[in-house]
Amino acid sequence: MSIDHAAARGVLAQYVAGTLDRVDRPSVADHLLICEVCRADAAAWRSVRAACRSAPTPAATAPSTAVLVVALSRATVGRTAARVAPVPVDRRSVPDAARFVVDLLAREARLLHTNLWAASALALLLGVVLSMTVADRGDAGMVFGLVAPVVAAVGAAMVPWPESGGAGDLVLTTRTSRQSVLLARLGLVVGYAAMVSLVCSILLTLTGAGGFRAIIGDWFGPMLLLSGLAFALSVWLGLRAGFVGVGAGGLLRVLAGSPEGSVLAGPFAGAIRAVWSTNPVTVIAAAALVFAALRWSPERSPLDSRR
Amino acid sequence: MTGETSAPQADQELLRRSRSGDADALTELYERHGEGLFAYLLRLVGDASLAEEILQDTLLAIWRSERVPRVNGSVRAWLYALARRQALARLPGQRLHVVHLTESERDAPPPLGPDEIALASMETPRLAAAVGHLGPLQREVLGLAFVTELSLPELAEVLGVPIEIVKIRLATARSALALFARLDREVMA
Repeated sequence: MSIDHAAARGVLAQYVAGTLDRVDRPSVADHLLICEVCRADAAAWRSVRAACRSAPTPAATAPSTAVLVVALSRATVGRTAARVAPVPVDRRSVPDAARFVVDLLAREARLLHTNLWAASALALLLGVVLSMTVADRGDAGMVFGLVAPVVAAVGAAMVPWPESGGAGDLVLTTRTSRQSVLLARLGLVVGYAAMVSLVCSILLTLTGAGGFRAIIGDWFGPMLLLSGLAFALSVWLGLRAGFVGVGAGGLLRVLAGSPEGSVLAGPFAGAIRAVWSTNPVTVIAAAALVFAALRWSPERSPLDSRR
Repeated sequence: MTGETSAPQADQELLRRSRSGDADALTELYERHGEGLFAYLLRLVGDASLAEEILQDTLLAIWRSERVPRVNGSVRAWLYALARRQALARLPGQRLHVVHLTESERDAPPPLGPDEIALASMETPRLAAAVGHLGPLQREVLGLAFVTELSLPELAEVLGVPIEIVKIRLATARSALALFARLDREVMA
């Protein structure tokens, strides 16, 4: 079942009128195959459609050809200027745009699975505990710098999929684009992980694991990059690919070790460590990945299907 | 319907040029949408000469607009919304209502009553006659959805109400149509 009953019922009139989005139409058709109530409903709409299309109009069906000529002459003469209602100009002012963003974020925050918040906070706190148990206190930042990006990226990989909370209805019934919904969710998930990580960094600093800025530098850039990568893979190739991306990224970082010693060959390990850090390039690369995932997402958006 | 939906970009361009005083562009825009707009206005006001005047007002409003209209969705929806505003400006009795939703309205799809189920088995001419008994708002929403064939977001834009209200209005119109059709049949019997 690719669409739930309530969502299908809500758009049956449009399905019958033939005005439903090309993407949504097959899922409603699938639902009709298995739902007798909706079939009866659609049959009733079909009768209404036939009635409307054959209802007699009071008089002529085509406007007089003079309409345009008269309108143009009125335009030049300027006789009835006062009577014409002005064109509504849709200017989305800055407060309006801000309100839209706040509304969207609030709505998405409610829709996202509550477990997602609890699970990522718990995982990050475990990361702090783990960092505090390392033999060399100086390595604490590095350990947390591995855990925090992985936690955020797992959430980011789940964003396009129903596992993160149903959003298909939202896209189907409002004018919010899929891209906006995806971006809002990604922002919430990664933003939340970053906020919790910030609190964790304060904890680590207080326990003497290193300087506050250094600890943030250990996880911030990698968090953005790995989340962007997981999100893009998830949109393009599916949830599993997103998780594999997270795992592979984390594993490579572990193998790259530290300048004092690593499993991988020196230059290769150095390159991985350079990528796994906070600098303008990682931030830009993360943004580019997210942009590309939204711009070139598959025809059938992951948000539409609930498998 | 084919030309209107297949080239939304052409519509955008025509609208932009019409606004800056290009009579050819306005003419073409009129050729593309004039008939549909007229049919809509005729259903709305029920009088051909009044509908023509409102259509003139609509064209004039495009021509005169000083600002670039920002069209979020389709130009078609924007045009119908504009025509509707002109119609309401001419009919002082009517006002646009801002409707606030209650939670129950938002969540529950209206039930499918026996009348609506019977709709499927009714002859089209009888139902078409019943369309004439509907109130103006109900006739309008059915006409825009099934004759003009506007999408749900377009309907919301033209009618100036949230999508949920469009759905409720469509469902209410259908219930009323079913009721009228049944009453008609009972009178005949």
